[in-house]
This record gives sequence, C-alpha cells and structure tokens, in this order.
Amino acid sequence: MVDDDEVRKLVERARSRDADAWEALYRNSYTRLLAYARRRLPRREQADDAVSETMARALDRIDRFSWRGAGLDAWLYGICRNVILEMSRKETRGGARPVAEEANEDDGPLDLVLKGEEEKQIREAFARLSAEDQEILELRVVGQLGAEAVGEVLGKRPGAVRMAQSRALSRLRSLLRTEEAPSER
Amino acid sequence: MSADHDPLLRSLGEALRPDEVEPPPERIAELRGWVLADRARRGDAPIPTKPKRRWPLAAAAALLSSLATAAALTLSRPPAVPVEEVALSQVPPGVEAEAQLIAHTWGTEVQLVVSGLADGQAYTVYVDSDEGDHIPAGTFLGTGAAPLRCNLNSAVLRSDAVAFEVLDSDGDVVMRSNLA
Repeated sequence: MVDDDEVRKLVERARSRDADAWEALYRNSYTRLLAYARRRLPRREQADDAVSETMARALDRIDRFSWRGAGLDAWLYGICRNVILEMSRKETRGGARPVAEEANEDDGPLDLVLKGEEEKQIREAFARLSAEDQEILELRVVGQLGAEAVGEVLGKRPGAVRMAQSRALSRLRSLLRTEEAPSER
Repeated sequence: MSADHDPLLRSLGEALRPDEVEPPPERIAELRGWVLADRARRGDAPIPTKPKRRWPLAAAAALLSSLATAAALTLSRPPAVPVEEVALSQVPPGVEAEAQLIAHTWGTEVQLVVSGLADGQAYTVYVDSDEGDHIPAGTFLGTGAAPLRCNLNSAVLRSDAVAFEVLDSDGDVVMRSNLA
C-alpha cells in the first residue's frame, strides 16, 4: 500500500486529472475494494464493475473531496458501498447480500487446502455473522479503516462504531466456540 | 480490552486478507480514458507525466469519441491536407482495399475504402506504435460487395505508428499495413 503522504500527493495530482495518479490510486485501493465488493456481489465481474464505477464516481467528485473527513480510503469505501447497494437493488429486492465464502468461485480445492484450518474456521464463522456485523469488521480489518473512517462510510458516530465492532467480535467469538465445542452424542 | 486490540480482530484480518491482485489492464485503460476525456471536457492541456508515452486501449477509445467532431470535419476537409498512400498486405481473396493515412496533431487518421468484406460482420482497426502498443482506431461493419469508405482515428501519432491492422470479430487479422 502507498503511504499517506504519497496518497496525498496522488490526490492532488488526481484533482488535475493526471491519468498516472488515477491509475496509482486505483491500483492502491483495488485489492481491498474488490474484496469488499466481491463479498457482496455474486459474480467477480460485478465486483470489478463496482470498483470501476467507484473510480468513475470518484473522478466526478474528486474536486469536492476534503481531507477534513476520514481520508481517501473511507471516501472510496463510501462510494463503493453505495454503488454495491444500487447494483444489488437492481438484482434483488433484499439489498446487498454478503456472499458466503463457499460461494466464491475463485476458491478452488487447492486454495482450501493451502489455507490454514484456523483461518478457515474464522472465515466460516464470519460468514455466519449478520451482514451488518460482517461489514463493520471487514471495513476495520480488510479496509484497515479506523472507527472514525468506518463511521463515515456507514453513517455512524465513532463511538457507535466501536460499540458495534465490539459486539460483532463477541458474536464471532461465540460462533467460533460453538464450532470448536465437541458434538454431544 | 479495547476491541481494536482484540487478538481475534487480528486473526480475522489475517483470515480475510485478500491476496494482492492487480486491476485488469482493460479496466486501467478504461479509467485512464475517463480521466483523459474529463480533461478534454475541462479544456485542460495534457499532462506529460511519463517519459515513456502510454496509449492504453480504452484511453484511446475514449479519445475517439471526443474526436468524433474531428472525424466529421475531415469529411469536408480541404484537398490541401497531405494524404499518405499506404500498401496493404494479407488482403484476402475477393476483397479489394485501399488505405490512406493522415497525420494529425492528435494522432493518425486511417482512411479505408474496402469491398468484399463479410456483410454485417464487425471489423476493428488497430494502430501499432513503435513502443508495442496496439491501439484501436475504431470499428466498422462489412458491406459485402458494396464498397465502404470509412475514416478511423487513433491517438497514436503518425511518427510513432509502425503498422495498422484490420481484425475480424474473432480477432484474426484480415489485412495489415506495415508503415515506414
């Protein structure tokens, strides 16, 4: 990932419609935004579309972007979240739905073997959390956003984000304990 | 313990951490095209940001749309504009084709007169640069035995162009011109 100082320089160049700066910003956020979109949209191509649309909207709005908020990442995640919600509404009436880890077509058998058993258990437990819990934790650990930034994305106050994050972690821990507990005969 | 320092949060981060992936080249080119088009709309001058010129696919495609006016103007161009006759190779049997180039400040215009291409089939013209880029200049539909005349524009400068190709919808080269 590009460090904060470099991101600030890139943003200033991006305001001048510097294509190289935009490409650098795109590359810098692509993996995380794609993962976020991929977990909420059924197909990889849709997730790619969502990230592209996010960048297109960012281009339209970059003149209004301000560092007074929670930073560029939170801003991009906020745009991406809206794009995903709009795409999901077009396909379903239920809004964005997290895609279960098992439904990821990119995960072949070899990947499953290579990934650690503990991580697999965590992912499975994570997949059983509510969409809200998943989102707040994912923004935190994959998006690497602080409470203030997550709050900006979700429209919550930082204190409420911390509370929700703590509760989501508790629920995740409970699910892991349930999975670890030996089954009764 | 703060939720931010919960070991489970770190474990979750490791479990969910996505493998680093690069955006698909066509998506990068698409974004660059949007940026360039936005610059053009704002009337800003180009930014010479890289010593090595890059002409991504969709950037050129986006430029094509903004060059539509230029293309229209060329139809009523005064005859004084220098036109370069170029030879075509690999022309399939039954196809007759002639090509001319015009060097513009914004790129290269390819003028094609063709007959004998499959009626209704889409063809794409690419201009190759001396840096190995393969940049689309536009598409057209074959008109069978009836001759078609079309002008196609690419954001590769004539001085940088080394060839252009006409590809069918399967991506096979139908004809080619190696440029001096």
